[in-house]
Amino acid sequence: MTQTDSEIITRCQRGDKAAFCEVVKNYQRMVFSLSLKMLADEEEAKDVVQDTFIRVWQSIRSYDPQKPFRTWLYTIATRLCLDRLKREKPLIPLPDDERTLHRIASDDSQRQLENAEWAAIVRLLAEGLSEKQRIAFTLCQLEGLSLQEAEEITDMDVRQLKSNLYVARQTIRKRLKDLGYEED
Amino acid sequence: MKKIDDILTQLQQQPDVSHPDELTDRIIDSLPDMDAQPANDEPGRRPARRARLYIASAIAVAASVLLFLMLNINQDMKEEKRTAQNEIVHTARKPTPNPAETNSTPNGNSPKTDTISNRVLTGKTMASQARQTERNIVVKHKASHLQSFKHERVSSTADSLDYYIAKIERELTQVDESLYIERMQKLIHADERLQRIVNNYLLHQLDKDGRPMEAINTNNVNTTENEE
Repeated sequence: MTQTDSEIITRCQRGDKAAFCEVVKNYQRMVFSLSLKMLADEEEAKDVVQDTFIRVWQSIRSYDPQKPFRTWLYTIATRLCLDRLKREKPLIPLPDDERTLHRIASDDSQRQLENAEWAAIVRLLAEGLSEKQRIAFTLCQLEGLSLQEAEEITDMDVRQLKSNLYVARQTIRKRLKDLGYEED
Repeated sequence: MKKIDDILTQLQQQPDVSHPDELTDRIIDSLPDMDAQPANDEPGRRPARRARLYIASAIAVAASVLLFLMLNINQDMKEEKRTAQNEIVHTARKPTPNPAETNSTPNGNSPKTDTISNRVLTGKTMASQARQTERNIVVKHKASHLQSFKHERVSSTADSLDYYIAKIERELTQVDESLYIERMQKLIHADERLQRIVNNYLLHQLDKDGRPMEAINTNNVNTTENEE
C-alpha cells in the first residue's frame, strides 16, 4: 500500500465518502475480476463488488493499516463469493462454451477477453473442481497472488493450498487436453 | 492454435468492468451509515433460523420434562397397584393349617392345663384371623384407592371398626393373664355402648318406617335400659 493509499484509508476511517470513492475506483476492477472468475456471471460479480465495498465501509474503522489493504479486500470478497457459491447451483458448461474457448484459442493475439467469454471459460474449466481447488486456482493461478497472500485470505495453510492448486491445475490441463488442446 | 499454457497465461489478465463509473456510483449511493453494523453482526436482530431453533429447543425441553414427570407418575401408580395385587394374592391363599391348631386338644391333660392350652390355641387362632382381617382391610383400602381418586383414603366407619376389632383381638393374644380379664371387662363395657348405638339406630329406622314399636322386642339385643 502506497503512502497515498494509506492517507486515503485514514480519511475513510474518519467517514470521508469522497476518499472512499477513490478506494472504490482503485480496487473495484480487482474485486470484479475475482468475483467473475469465481462466479462466472457478470451481474452476480457486480453485486459481489457492491457488497464487498459496503462491508469495507462498515468495517473500515477496525482495519489495521499495518496490514495490506489488498489482502483484506480479497478476504472479504472471497468470503462473499463462497457464500454465493454455496447458495447457487453448481456451474454447468453451456453448449456454446466449447466454441467460445475454441475461438479464443484460435486467435493468436493476447486480446482482452470479453466478460461473456470469461464466464464461458470459467464454466468450462471449473466443472468438477472442489470449492477449495477453485479458490486456490483462482487466487494463485488466475489472480497471481503468492501462496502467503492466499494463506492469509483463505482458511487453508500453504501445504493445503499447494496440494489444491496442483490438483486443480492437473484437472484443468486434462480437461483442455480432452478438448483437443496440446501441451508444450 | 494456442497451446494449454498459452490459454492459462491469457486467463491471468483482469477482466474489465463494463461501465465502471456506474458501478462506482451504485456502490457510493448504497453506502449505509458508517456506524451501522454489518447485517450478520446486528445484535438486536435475530436471524429467523436461530429464532426457530430456539423455539424448537424450548419445546423439546418442555416436552421431555413433561414426559419425565408422566413416567414418574405412571411408575408410582404401577408400583402401588403391584403392591396391592401382591397383597391380594397373598391373602387369597388359604393359610396353611397350624399343626398346633389341628391337634388342639390333647387328651389326658388336667382341666386347668386344658383351659390354659385352649386359651393359648384360641388366642393364636384369633391372632392369625385378626392378621388376615387386617390384611384384607388394608387390601380393600388400597384397591379402593386405585379404583377411584374421589374415594381414596376415605374408609367407612364399619371398616374402621373392623380394623380396630382385629387390632384388639391381636392385642388380647399378647396380654398377660392378669390383664386379660380387666381388658375383657372394658371390652364388654365398650360392646354395650356399641349395642346401644345400634339399638338407637334401629329405633330411629323403625320410627321412620312407621312400624309398630313391638318390633323392637324381636331384637335379641338387650339394651342397658332393659337390663335395668
